[in-house]
Amino acid sequence: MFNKKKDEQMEYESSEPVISTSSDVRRRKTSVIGPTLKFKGELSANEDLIIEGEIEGTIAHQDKNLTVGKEGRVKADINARTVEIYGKVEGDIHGEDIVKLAKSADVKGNIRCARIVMEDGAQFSGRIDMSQKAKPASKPAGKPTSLPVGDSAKQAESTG
Amino acid sequence: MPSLIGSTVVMKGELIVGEDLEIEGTFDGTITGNGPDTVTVRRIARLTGEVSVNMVKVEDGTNLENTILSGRIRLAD
Repeated sequence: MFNKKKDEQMEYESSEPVISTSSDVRRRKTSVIGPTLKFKGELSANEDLIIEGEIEGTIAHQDKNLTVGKEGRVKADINARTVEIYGKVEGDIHGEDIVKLAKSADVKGNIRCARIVMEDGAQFSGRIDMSQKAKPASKPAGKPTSLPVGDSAKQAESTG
Repeated sequence: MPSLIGSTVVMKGELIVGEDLEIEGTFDGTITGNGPDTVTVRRIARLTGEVSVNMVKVEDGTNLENTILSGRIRLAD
């Protein structure tokens, strides 16, 4: 059972910067665009953001974490400190620190980041530019956790 | 996990909701509901435009200048 659970997760070494699961983020301060929400326009934020719905337009979301959940569909360029993709994205992705594509991710666009994790099964069409260096986090990281691919992916798997 | 437009979020455009939504941030545009949804507008929110959903809960002290609300409207403390 333990091994199965491990297989479902993307694991990161303890030296990696801490990236919390979706539920952890929610406990801090996280905006959530739920699965039934459809938004067309301009969106900016200075807090962590989870997108489970549809967004088309522009997303200005620097220096925080952005997660596109398994049900999430985004047609926009994305800027954030860390970017986790479980759903579909059409647009360029800029992760100041790291970009992660889960096995359920479907990304069409270019990725610019310092580090990238692409899980087996992730679909990606575009270019990857890793010439930038990671910027130090603005806040000290908490306890390192193994990551992955978050609660939204687990929920989605459990619901079929 | 309910939908939340947090206090630092600024959205400008059209939003369709099919679930409960809480707004603490800034929204300029139209919000349309397509289900038995409730939109809760917190005091710190800045809402401009038109909201047409099943139910709108407005916290006491919320600034709704230039905002049109439709549906069942409940004012909350």
